[in-house]
Parts: sequence; structure tokens; C-alpha cells
Amino acid sequence: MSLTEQELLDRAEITDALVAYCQAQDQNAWPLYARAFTADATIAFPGMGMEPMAASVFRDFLIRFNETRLSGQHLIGNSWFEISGDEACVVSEAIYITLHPTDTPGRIRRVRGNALYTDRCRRTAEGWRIAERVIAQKNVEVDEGDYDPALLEAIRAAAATDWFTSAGAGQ
Amino acid sequence: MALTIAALLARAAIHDCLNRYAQGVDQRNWPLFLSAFAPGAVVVVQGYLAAPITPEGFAALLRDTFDHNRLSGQHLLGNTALAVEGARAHAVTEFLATTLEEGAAPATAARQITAGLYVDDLVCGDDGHWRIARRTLARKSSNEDQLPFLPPVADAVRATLRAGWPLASPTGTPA
Repeated sequence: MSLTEQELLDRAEITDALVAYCQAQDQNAWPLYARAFTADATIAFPGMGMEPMAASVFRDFLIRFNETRLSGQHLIGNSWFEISGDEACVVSEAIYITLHPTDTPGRIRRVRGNALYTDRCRRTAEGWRIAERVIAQKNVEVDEGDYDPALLEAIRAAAATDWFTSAGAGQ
Repeated sequence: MALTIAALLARAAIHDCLNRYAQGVDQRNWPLFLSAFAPGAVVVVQGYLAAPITPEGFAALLRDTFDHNRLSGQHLLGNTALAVEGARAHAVTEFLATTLEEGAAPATAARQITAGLYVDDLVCGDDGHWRIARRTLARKSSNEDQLPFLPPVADAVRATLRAGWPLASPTGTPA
């Protein structure tokens, strides 16, 4: 069956919710987090030693976690959509890189991984939102390397910038 | 506010613009690269360039700095967050760049993996095309390592340097 304009619009709005999650945690843009999830949303992490929790609880965990993180990128792709009325199931691949300081100045720990986001989404009065997310790890690698002080300074400055206003980009 | 088909068309045109930059820089198609920018545009590279630079100047810098030992490049884009207001837009896009250069030792290549953000102010011209008026490039991570670089992989990678990759020909017939 061919796609309809409404299905294209639904896919775009659902993608906006998926992207809002990534942008929120990667740019510490926490107001965007509310545009990703329903108020009662839950997140599960099978096999990762963490109990399922409310999305709002996970947001608070991420805020604390990111206080020491230098940078993060969670790049999503290959989203597969099954939309039925006001409900949808979406499966997306994710590849991520995060940087973390070590006890040695200039020595940086890099975490790279691959994951799968499986989302049950719901159409709400505010638009499509994720109601249930399952995060499944496919791969995790950790290594360490030395970073040039000027690059580290640029990374820290970028992490402290509000990129969602033109003024923030005007440096 | 609910999306409209008109908004989707604008998004698609903006993504075309972002892709012109990435395709241009990765396939060394400089006319395509420059077509992503509006007249008077500037590029800001935090922690790398002391001052904003023109797209033409940035293209020249990339050519002069990297092309003598460059083997390949891929700037993969994703997660674009867009705010469109009339003929202006603001876009925040993740990039993940993987580049290969000739290694310091024979039969080796230097691989650099860089993650970062493109933060763009865009304008829509009278011709309906969206172009970047200001791009800020902010790096999030950058790691380099040395890889063995032996045939047949090395031959296949070097072959991409010879191909013109004209957009009209998916077979990569030399331009």
C-alpha cells in the first residue's frame, strides 16, 4: 500500500520526537526532553543492570551524569515505522560517542557504542511522543587518548553553548 | 503546531542544502560545496580558525591543507533539529566524520574520527532554494589512529579519488 500524506506527516512528527531525545541529552537542552516523551513514559534497559524507570527519572539521571561528561553524540538512523491510527512502533539504530575526563589531565576516555531504540509512540494533543522506549546495547568499546588543550577548550565551550538560538551560534 | 506538507517540503529543501555541503566536501565537488552557501555567507570553526571565513576561503583551506595526502572522507549527517520561520531557518545537525589520509609509514593510513555539530542560519532565496548564511562548526570529539592500508582495500579506496562522482551518474564515471 502506498504512503499517504498523513503518514508522511506522522513519520516526520515521530522523527522530531526521536531527535528531541538525542538533542536534549547531547546538547544538555533539557526543555527538548519534554518534546520526546509522554508524561507517563517509561524506559527499559534490558541486560544493562538497570531497572525500567520513568522517562523523567532517567532525565534527572542524565542531567547528573552529564555534569562530568565532556561531550556526547547519539546519532540515529534507519528508523522503521509501523503506524496504526494514534499508535506507532518505531525501531531505530543508534551509534554514539561520548567523552569523559580521567584523573590524568588531558587524558580522555572515549566510549563508543551501537544500540537499538525500540519505541512505542502515541499521538497526543501536543503531537507524537514516545510512551515506551527500550534501549538495547549492540556494542560498547572504551579507549583512552590524549587531547590537545586547545581542542579540549573548544569542546568544553561547545558543550556550554545554547545552540538553539542564532545568538548561541554567533561566536 | 502540527506539521504541514509545505513544512515537509521546506525541510526536504533544507536537507538538500546540508547534503550539498557534505557531498561537496567528501567528493571534493567544490561547485556543489559552494552552492550550499548564500552570498556573503561565513563559516565559523571554533578552536580551529581565529576568525570567520568565507565559504570560498574555507574550501581553499580544506584543499590546501588536506588534499595532498587525503584518501577519503565521509561526513555523515543526522538528528537535524529545525526551526523554520518564513524564509529563515535555524538548524542544529550532528555530523560524524571519518577521514583517511596517507599514513606516516608505508602501507598505513591515518584515520580520524570526529564528531560534532553544524549550527546553521539558513535563508530561502527567491528561487526557492535554501542556503546557509552562517555555519558554526563545533567539535565534540576527535581521535586519530594508524591503520594497516594494504591491497585490496587500499586500491579500492584510492580508486574513489580518481572517480569524478558526478551526481548524474551513479556509476561514478569520471567527470
